[in-house]
Amino acid sequence: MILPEPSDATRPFWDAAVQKRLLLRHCPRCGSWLHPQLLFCGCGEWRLEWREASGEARLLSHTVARRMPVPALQGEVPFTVLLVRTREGPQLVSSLPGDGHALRCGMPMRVAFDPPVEGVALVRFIPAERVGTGDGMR
Amino acid sequence: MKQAAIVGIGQTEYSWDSGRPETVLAIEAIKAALEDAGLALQDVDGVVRSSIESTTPIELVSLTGMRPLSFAADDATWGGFVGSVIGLAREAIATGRARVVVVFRAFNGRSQLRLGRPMPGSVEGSGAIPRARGNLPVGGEFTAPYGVVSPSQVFALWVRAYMERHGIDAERMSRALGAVVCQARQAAQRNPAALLHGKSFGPADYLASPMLAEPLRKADICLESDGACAIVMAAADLARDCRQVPVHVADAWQHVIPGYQNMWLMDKQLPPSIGREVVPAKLARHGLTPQDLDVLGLYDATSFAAIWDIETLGLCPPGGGVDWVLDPEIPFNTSGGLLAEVYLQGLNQAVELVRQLRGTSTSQVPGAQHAFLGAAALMSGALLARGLP
Ligand SMILES: [Zn+2]
Repeated sequence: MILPEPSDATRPFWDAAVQKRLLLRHCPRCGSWLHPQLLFCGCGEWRLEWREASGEARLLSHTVARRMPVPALQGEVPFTVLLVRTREGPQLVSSLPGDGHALRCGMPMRVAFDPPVEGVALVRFIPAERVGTGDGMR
Repeated sequence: MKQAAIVGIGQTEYSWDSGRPETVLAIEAIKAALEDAGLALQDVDGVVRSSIESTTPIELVSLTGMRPLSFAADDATWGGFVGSVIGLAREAIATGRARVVVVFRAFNGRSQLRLGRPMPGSVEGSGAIPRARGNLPVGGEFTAPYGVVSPSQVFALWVRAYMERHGIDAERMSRALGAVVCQARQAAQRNPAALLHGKSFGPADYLASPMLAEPLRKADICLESDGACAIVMAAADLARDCRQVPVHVADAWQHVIPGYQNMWLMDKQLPPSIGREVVPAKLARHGLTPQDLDVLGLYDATSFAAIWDIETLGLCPPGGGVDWVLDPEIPFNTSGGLLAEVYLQGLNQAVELVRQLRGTSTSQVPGAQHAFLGAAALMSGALLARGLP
């Protein structure tokens, strides 16, 4: 396992994840939603706010990782790496344990949150059709 | 405007462990390239490199007995540097800032800095669980916790998006990727300097290569290697008196597109594209179409990149690259490329294209007149031609 080391700039995102809330950056000037690591909006605004996102997303791409070059993840392969586009626009990388998830690019995904480890909750996205089935991560 | 030509090429041996500093490798490759040209260190008045290079022009001018430089410049576009550094040298010559410019790349990419792993300092921590920090697309705070710890996972996400868009199934993709890898390995068998020379490799070996991130196998990813290479460029009047057939730098360009900062993971459209009209328009200025090119040097950081570049070049319809590489109309990466010769971010491809245009490649394309060099999804490139106009 690898955990994120929040910076001062990104700590609100990870603090919210512990509360099971997905925050993204939002530009008060032009209304754009931005990735949590972006500090400026392309319109020139730098006083960005955090806003809660819908948690809805679509799958843009995915891959099954079968080998890992870092020891901390070698015990977890295979797992599935995801790239999702949130309904608001910003794109996030995530992952699901294991393989064989029957994923299709474009399919609706829904945010989920890991139980906190060392005070950090990883943000996941699971196929929307599996939400509430108790089979979210599988 | 003075025309510029490549008059010298040089390289060190390529290895898994050079046993010496990158600066020493750089000096060796530069000296070899100057000797090839029939020039001396004292003839050099310009040095161009990538900003990812560890050796500076200041070190070179201080260590090697060069005379004062009138031109020293860096390109700052990571792996996309090769067309840009050649372009900077060409422009320095065209404007009279310099007459003899050295371009080099020296990299202990196996024994020192392995780019197939997270950058030093990005994934580490004192606790039981390592922490990822920073905004790099590989090994960063928002990527490493989810397993994006080497470029192979990012490239796999590109490939999957491409397959979905064009309805390409895993078997067809695998056949195309395997064809690119096998042709690179075969070229390496003919090139004694290639790192994978002497290691025979066919389609069955490809399918036996371990899967890293589906559909990419270990064999689909470029080498991590040690070595250096260099080219010497000179003004046309001087180039005519050099030892070798001059290779005219007819054009060189940059076309750096948004999204590079995060390897396009934040971009709607994967894989990254400069647009299929960009390179054909550049070639048209020289009266050429993509089909007129005799040999290509493509940035095969993965086998997929070669397929993608062929589409971006306009050699086939979108989604047709997977078929094109099964029976290539134009030879590409004839030294083994980044997959099988050495990973010097495309400067080794430039050296090979010069050999092709001189007629001295180990996989010679008969009568090659025009060569195309591209890097990083064609965000930089060069058009090279045999002889001066
Ligand atoms: Zn804005």
